[in-house]
Amino acid sequence: MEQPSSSSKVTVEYFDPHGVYQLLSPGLLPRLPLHNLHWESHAGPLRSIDSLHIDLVPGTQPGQALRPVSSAGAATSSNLTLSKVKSEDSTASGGDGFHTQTLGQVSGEKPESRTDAPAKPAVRERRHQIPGLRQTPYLKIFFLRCDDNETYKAQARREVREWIKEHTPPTQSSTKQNTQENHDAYEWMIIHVVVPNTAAATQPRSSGKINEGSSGNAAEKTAARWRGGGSSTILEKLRADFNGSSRSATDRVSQIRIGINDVPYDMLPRVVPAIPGSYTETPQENENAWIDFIAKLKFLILASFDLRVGQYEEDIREKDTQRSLPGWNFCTFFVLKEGLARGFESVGLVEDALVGYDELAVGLDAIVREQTTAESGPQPGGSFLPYTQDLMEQAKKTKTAILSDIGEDDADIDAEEPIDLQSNNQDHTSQDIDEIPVDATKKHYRELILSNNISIFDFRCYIFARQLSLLLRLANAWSSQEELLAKLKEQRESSLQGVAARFPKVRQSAEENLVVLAEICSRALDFVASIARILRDDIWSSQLEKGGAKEKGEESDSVTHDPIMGKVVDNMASSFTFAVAQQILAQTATKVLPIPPSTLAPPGSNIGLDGQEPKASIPEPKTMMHPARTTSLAVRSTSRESSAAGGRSSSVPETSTISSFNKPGLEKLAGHRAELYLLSRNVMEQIGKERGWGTGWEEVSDLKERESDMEEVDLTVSNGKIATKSPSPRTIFTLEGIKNKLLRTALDNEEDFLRLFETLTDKALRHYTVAGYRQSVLSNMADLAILKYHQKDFAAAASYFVRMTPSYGEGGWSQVEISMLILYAKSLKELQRKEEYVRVVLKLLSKAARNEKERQLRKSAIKMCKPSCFEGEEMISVVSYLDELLHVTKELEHEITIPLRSFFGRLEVDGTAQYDSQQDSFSLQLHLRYLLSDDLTIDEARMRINASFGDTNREIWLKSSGPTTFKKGRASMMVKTDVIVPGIYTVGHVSLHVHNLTLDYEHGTTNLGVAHGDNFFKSPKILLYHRAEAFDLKLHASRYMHLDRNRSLELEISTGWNDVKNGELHIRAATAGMRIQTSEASVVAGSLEISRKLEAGVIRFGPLATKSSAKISMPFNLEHDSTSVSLKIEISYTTEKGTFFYATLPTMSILLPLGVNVQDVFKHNALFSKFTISSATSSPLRLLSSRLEGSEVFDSACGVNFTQPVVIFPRQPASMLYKITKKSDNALLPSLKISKPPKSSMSLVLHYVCLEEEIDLAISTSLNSSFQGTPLQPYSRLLIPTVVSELQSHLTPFDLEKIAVLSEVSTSYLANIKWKDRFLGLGRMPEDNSDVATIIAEGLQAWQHRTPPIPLTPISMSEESIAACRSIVIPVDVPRVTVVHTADLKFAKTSPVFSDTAVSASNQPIPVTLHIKWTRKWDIKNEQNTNRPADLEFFYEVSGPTDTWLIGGKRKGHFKIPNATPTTTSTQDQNLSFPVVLIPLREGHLPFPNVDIKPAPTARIARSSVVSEEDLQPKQTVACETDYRNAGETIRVISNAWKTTVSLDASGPQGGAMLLESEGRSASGEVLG
Amino acid sequence: MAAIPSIACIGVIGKNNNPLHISIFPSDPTNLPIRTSVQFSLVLSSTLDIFEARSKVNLTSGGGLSGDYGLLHAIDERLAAYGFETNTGVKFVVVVDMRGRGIGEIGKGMGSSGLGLREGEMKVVFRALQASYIKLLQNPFYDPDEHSPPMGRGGKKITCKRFAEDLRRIGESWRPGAGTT
Repeated sequence: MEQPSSSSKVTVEYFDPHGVYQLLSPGLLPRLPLHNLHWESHAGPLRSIDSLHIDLVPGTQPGQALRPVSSAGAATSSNLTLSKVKSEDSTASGGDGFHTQTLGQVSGEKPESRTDAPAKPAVRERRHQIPGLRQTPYLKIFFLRCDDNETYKAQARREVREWIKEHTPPTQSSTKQNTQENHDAYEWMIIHVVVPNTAAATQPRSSGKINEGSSGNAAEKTAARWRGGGSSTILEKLRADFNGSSRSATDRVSQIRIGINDVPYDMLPRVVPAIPGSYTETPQENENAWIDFIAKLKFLILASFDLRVGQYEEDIREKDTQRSLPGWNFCTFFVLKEGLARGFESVGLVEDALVGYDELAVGLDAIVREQTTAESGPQPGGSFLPYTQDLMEQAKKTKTAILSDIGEDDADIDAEEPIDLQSNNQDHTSQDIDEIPVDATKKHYRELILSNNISIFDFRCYIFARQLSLLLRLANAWSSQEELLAKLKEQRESSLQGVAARFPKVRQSAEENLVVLAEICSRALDFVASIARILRDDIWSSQLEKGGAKEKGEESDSVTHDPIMGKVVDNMASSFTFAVAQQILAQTATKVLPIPPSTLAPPGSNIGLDGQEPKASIPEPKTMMHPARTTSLAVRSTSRESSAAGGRSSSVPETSTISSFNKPGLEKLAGHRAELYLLSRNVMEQIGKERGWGTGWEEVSDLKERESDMEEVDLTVSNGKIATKSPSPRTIFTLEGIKNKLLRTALDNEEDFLRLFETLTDKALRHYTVAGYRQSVLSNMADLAILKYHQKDFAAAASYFVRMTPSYGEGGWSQVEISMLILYAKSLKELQRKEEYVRVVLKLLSKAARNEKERQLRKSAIKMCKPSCFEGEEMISVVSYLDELLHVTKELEHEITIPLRSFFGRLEVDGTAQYDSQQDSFSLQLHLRYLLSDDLTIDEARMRINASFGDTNREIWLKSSGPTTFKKGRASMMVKTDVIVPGIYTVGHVSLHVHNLTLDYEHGTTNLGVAHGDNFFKSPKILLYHRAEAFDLKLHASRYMHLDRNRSLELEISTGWNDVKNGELHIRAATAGMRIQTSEASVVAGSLEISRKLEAGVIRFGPLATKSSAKISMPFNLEHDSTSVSLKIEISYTTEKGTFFYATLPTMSILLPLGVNVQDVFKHNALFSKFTISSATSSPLRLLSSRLEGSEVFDSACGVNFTQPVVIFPRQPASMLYKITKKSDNALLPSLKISKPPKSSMSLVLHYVCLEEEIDLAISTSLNSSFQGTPLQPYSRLLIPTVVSELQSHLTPFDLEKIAVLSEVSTSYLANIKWKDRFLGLGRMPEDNSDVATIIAEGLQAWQHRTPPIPLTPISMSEESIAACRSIVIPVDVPRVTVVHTADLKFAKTSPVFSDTAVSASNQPIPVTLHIKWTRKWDIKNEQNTNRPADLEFFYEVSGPTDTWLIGGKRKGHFKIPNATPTTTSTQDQNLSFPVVLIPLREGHLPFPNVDIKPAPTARIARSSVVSEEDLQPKQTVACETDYRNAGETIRVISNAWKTTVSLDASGPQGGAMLLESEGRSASGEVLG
Repeated sequence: MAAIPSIACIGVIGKNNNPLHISIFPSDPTNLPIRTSVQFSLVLSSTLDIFEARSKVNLTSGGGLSGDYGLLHAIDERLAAYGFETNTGVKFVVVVDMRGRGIGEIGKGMGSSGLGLREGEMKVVFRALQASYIKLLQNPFYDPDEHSPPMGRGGKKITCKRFAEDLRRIGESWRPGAGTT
């Protein structure tokens, strides 16, 4: 139980017959308040009371009060002073004994309450039947002055005894007499005040018998013993006499010695009793004595407190159990319980007290609820007054005042003025009270409660007032402290003046507890809300009561509909609410709360928009503390300053800077205080509104778009009701009933009203800033901004708007944002800030557009919903901003770009490209949904489409032809371009241009941030194509190919319907390493003028008529081999209709479809070349013709030419055999004369057709004929390549072979292809709006069904067709062979047997001659190079398998071929012959032995030393071919045995088989010969 | 002039403190909403601060699991805002007009209006609101993330017709002391 510096008080009554209090008080008061009391409650934990103030009041004793009893020494003057002190005290503290420090408690009322209490017993101060009402002293102290033992015996003892008899607490005298007495339980105590210079002063404190421990010491004890046990000190005597007999009894006697200096001179006894061994007290002892005294004080107070609490709790329990009994009265219970709470409060246990009150508040609620729900009959818990008397009277008074007003004039303000003043004067005193509406002492609530004579309103007010005061005390609030400090001061001033200086400075109370302050505010908010309703009910029921005397039913109706009374009630409730809020605000004000400086700029201080205000926040000035005194002043000053300053400071420091001030509860307190400010502001605004003073919100509501249907609803709902009602309350306006001065002042005229409104809002704003309530700050800013706008302070308004609007926009509070933006825009317009204006209006318009979009969405989603209740969001009209905006933007220097979607709800691109007839251009249709209600005329629209195929950089810009005007709703426009690049496109960018304003939409970039549900933009893929009649450009590889030369390509230009005037081709290679020689371009076919420019890759051409075509051929070369090349071709051409552009990226295959191999067989006189022509791809070829063209040196000859094309399959090549002979020397000789060597190489010319081409042709023809005349014809240029490529990709090598064999193409491959997917993006047919892709797909399907097989076009073998085919020229070189030998093995004897094969017997030698014939005819180089000395040396070797042949004779041999002159070599060939013997070792057909002829290496080495390197070089290339005649020939070898005899006799010494005899063919050798 | 409390405005506010739905109901004397919708929006947005402040307190104290924030803010003597927050951070704010609905006669029911609302009386509304919201969440076409994106601010409003209908029904049918809504 932490207690802040407490301000609780208990009453201690003292009886001071000797006037010593005066002496004692300087010592006593500084020791007060009591500190650290620990009360051990029987229920609950130990509570400690940090400090407890004691209210010392002199007690009166009937009969002998104030009778001076002092003996001789006391002077009469002292009595006088004493009495004076007493009287002062009594006026200061009143006689009631109990003091709370409640705010504004007027002590003078207390005695009145005592006399008024009806149940008060007449005799003495007997307790009330309901205890707790009276607060009696907890402790009674008897200040005894007894100067010596004699006096004690003679007088003091009796005096004390009598006093005790009078004041014995009931618990002391008889235990069980009456427990009710415990309510007033108190303790008593005797203080023996020892005045210096008396006998008593010389006595030691104790004679040693009773050791107090703290005060006694050894010296004292010895002194006492020394003086003998018989004589005890006065203190001891007192103890013995009054402390009770039992050991456990509490010590109630204490002694205080007054120092000699502390006694005023006039009171000091002059005569010093001559007592030897006088005792002087050390300061330590003195201190101990005080400690003892204080401890006893504490103990006794707690003891009596404990008793009381116990008693109360018991009573409460008892009462509580009786709750259900009939006749149980809440008021009684309340008083009882409150007694306990007050008891707690009085000792400083504020929280316990608060709990008590809280419970009571809840109890009251419960009772009231029970009563309302209960039917008639006795009401549980006792009855409450149905209304409050003063409220009724006040209402009545107000009503009459109003009535009189109306009687004079119809609520004219001027007429009211005198009455205002009058009423002010009339109840001036009551006005002051009204400023503090919640005050427990305002009325005699407790008596009212006690007498069951209280209304709910009063009851609640009372409870809240008590709670409030407790909380304030708990919070250590400024106001409660103030009050207490004042009291303390008062008390102190009453004490001796000289001593006053010694008082320690009263602690300027420590921290205020902000959490509790916040709690106060939040409770107050609750309270205000409910009490206002109770107040209304109260007044109404009082009216009802009045009327109720008559007939109830009708009267009640008239009463409730009395507009004047309604006004009265409203005013009173408002006033009350306002006053309560102001009161709480004043009471919870704390210096700790750092409130940022007002945003209302102080005069002169030139604070920029950046808000360079001192960061340290200034604590809120206390001027607003008590509204009654100062607020109007404060309002006036601040607002005047602000209006004078004109400009304003803007920034509220961010909450982060505030956070350094953080303190527990700070934010909460600030927040709640702000709410209170707002509450009072709202109340005020409400009244102001009735008066017709707006704060700007009306204008905001005027902005609402009143849709016609909504208006109808309004009218129907309020059928006539408004018409009758609305005029009457409007006319009556009065200030009557508004008691709160501040409110009244503010409502006096509009200026003050707005000023106060602003001040309150600003205060709330600043408090919220401290509290860190972001949204509330914004909301208040909105209020301020609107107010400023209303006051036409546009700069100020704009500065608020600029800070506020973004936050709302981001948070999604679009409706708020739009309203604010409108006002913001208007302000900026007034201020002529164009840039900002444009920005804001754009934002506003886009917001409006978005709202409109959402509304449309909803409309489409929700068909039937009552518009009045749905969403509650009226549309806000933004009409006419657009024109203004455009007007302003025209003047701006730079362009402004905003997203397209801010004005448009939907952007749709029609997928159908609309091609213009007779020219190569197209346009696309845009569908936009315009959201604003103003028409928008754009200057130009642009759209970009991006290619989504290979060349991604390709983009085409489309433009609208002229200005277009958009009206709200859907709109369409066309954008057009002269550029056609076939392919698939997506829309990448759309922009609309108006003056300096660009609305754009970038697809792809914005798409990232937008959620997937976004359906702003819709665009299909757009497939651009060339119509059949359009300009066309085709790329072919040249049909004629010469392997030796650069390849070339052909560009075929066909104009279609264009009458081309001129054009320009830009050609670039798209394949790496490809070079095109555009400079060598030539027109191959058609009539076309080409003007070659020096620019590489550019070809310009002249006019070309309609429907004509031309071919341009240009060579190219490649760095690397590749199978295909592609080109980037861009062509722009001009016709009468404009310049058009076309780009394409054609690719052609340069792969050779066939391969040729040659095999040469050299003979002596001729060379046989076998050409094997195979297909290089998997596709079959048709070879149409083949021809080997002879050269100058050689002739070629072939057998028959073929009449049918030869089909070459990949695995079935064709072979052509040509015989090449050397032309005769005669024919050759003339050419020899020329220095240039004759062309020896021949060329093979092949004409062929690739099967694929045939297929393409067949399909194209078929498709073309099929689509002829159908709507699909324009698409043929798109269709045919697609179909063809589709088919080709499906054909397998096997299929190709099949096609080649069957000569027809089956289209079944195309049956299952989803054509539609391949033609998406074509849009719709203009005629019947059917999907083009579907039509195409259907058309293709139909075509496929019609023509399952397509026959290939038969190829005629006519010259023309052959010429039209592809041709290839392959140069064929005759290989150079130096020497060609012809070797021949000849038998020496001719075979006798007529057989083509020689027959020979095995193991018989066959004499053979090897003839070698040689020629150098094929050494073509040598022929030309005659000066070459070449005696070539060769060697031959006859070899055969060793198991077959045994070769004898000159098996190997060298021979030399002389370097014969051409003449010799050509005329006579030399024959060499070498004899060889062959012996066949086996029987059978034996191949002849091999003859190898090779150049001899040895000869070269021998020469190399002599001959130079150059000569040596060609030596190595000595090539020789051998034409071995016997190759492939066999010789039949038969056994030579003619007869063989074999013995099979097994007998004999050897046994086994035995060759007996063998006879060879004797003649065989001759036969073979 | 006897009147009992009625609902003046129901606001559903998303996790990002963005308004999801605002329903405004007419109040008695003129049968028009007593504030403009913009003003109601401001009121609703202001309550967010209180939600925030209280949830901070709840975090530290560990209480407030129920989500019922009770009375947030007494705007003036007529209007009071009550709040409720779901586990997913969606807030329901009900602005009650203490004199929103006129009743035929005064007398018996009068005391009740003076006492204000009992604790439980708003709970009924919030329970009904929560039920409606749960119904909305069960709608497969309703994507909560769309309305309060997990990252970022703002969000779409609820456009569900049934939800709006539900809220309208709740707002119109509620009266203090009535058992169910």
